[in-house]
Amino acid sequence: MRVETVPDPVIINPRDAIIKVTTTAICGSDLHLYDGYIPTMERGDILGHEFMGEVVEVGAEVKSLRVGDRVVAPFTIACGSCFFCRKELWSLCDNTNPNAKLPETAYGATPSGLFGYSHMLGGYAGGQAEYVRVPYADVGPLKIEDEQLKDEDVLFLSDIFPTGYQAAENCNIQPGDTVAVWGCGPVGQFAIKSAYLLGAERVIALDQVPERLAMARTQGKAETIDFSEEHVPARLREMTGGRGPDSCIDAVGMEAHGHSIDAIYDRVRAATRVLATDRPHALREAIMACRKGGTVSLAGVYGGFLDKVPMGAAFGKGLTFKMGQTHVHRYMKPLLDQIQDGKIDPSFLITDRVSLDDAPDAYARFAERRDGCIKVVLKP
Amino acid sequence: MNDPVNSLNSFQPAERQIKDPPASDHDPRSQAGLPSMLLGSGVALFGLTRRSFRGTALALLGAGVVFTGAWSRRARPAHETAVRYVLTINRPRHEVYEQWRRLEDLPGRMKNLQSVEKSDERHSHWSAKGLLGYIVAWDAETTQQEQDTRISWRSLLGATVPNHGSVRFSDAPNGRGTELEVTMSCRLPAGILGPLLARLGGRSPQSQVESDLRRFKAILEGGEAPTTSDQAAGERSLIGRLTNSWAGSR
Repeated sequence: MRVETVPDPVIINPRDAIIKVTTTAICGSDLHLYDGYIPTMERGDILGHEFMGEVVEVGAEVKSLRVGDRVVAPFTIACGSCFFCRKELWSLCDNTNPNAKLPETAYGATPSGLFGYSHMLGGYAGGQAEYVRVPYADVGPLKIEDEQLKDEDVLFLSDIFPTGYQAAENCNIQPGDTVAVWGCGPVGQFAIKSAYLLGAERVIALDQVPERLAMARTQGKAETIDFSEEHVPARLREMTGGRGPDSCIDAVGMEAHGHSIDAIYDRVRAATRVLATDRPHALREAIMACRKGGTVSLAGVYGGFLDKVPMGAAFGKGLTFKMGQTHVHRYMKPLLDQIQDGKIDPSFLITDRVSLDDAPDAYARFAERRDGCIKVVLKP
Repeated sequence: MNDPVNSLNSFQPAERQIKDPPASDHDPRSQAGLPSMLLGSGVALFGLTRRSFRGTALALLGAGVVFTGAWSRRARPAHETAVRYVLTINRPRHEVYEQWRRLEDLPGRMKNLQSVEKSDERHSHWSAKGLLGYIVAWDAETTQQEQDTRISWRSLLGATVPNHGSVRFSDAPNGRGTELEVTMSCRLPAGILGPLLARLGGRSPQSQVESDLRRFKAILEGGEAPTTSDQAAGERSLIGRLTNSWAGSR
């Protein structure tokens, strides 16, 4: 992880735009790359998929943007015209991954390309940079015309706000529902707020980092469980009248921490990066805790093969699983409206503001959950 | 990246479907490989009974011999490489068909195909990128053409990589576009080495056809093919630079 000077990006395709980045951020999913759990990263790759800025150049086919527009870019790249885009399944776009062969072999089909997230998912240079090339710019970037809105108010429309929101929406929340959220990182915090926005009666949040639990209580108004101190499934059962949460959101993904025997087993295997890349402890717990007929909604990223996932419990309780990369394009405008209406101020999350040059150190702090670091915003 | 075999070669549906003929008892091939399989099994069994390091090595060696024997028994025509890929394009069948017939407009936007020149309704000249940047060229003849349904082609005498194939167009259900099925067969140069080298170089006919078909789809659906080649990056590692120069940047 280091900061290097590279040539400025140029327009390659007619639907490209070049954005001068004004604000960008480090995402929790960048840590999967940083820690080496996502294959097909190469030295020299530029990371970053949460960014916004000013349009400085547009390709011949981009009619919806002009030089000088202020935009937030979705982290998923979508063509807008394939079967999946037409169904608003933007993160499953057929056409934006130039390296489709890899996921076609590994996953059976390719998801959309992503900024700065491995060659398997496109190999696109990311936005933790001064300039970035945005392909299919006539479909993705959202114009921010309200000058009252600061970058920090809208930056998270690029990923984590829609991601937390989709996780909650996937829960199909009904009146009276209790939603449990594993992980009080950035996506977890947005999932908590979104669950309330969508009508949840109660939200219970789980983590072991004190500042994150505190943020979930004060900002998110969630009840919290510190999993380093309590037995999660038993505690959740007690808190929900013996039923279990109606929906469980896994906002952790492949690098879960835990203190039980299965978590230790995962750690040993994943340490090799070969026997396993994913440590699905949070997912296992969510499945075990969820009430019969409930929904397990996965927002955290998984990459490979999961071991010892209790499918018997999932089947026996008739659970519904919802998952996948966020269809960011679907949520950007409606969530911008929520911000403008004052229903939510996404900037509550930011704990660290540093320059791009200090990114490596910020990565380390974020990865180690050091110094209260929850969300890092970078200024090029 | 493609060989001549490239993707969109001359298209025409092959009458000869490229299926491996089954080995029959009368086929001399049916005996091929048997001796080495028997010998290999013997060596492997002997090795296993030794229960020593050397025994294990011997057993592995025997297993290898069995494998080569079995490999040689795979019935297939002499070094023919078969290609088959199916995908759905979210455009009407007539449009997809017409675009395919006008493939000469697409090279440059395809990765492997270099150029297509039509000499008359049935004949055309093709060139495509091969291994290590070699250009492979051939003349093709349309052997069958059925409006909006099917096109078959074969290369004419003198092709570096003789090939024939067909592409079939059919409606996907409920207005979901057009299903495209491409089958092709080609003979790479250098006998058994050709396909192996092509594979190592990331330019097997199958992968080249796949990648150009995906680009064809992307262009029809979204007007352009996605790419990251020529984009800025930090300093690549030695391995990264080597694989890029060998297989071509993605």
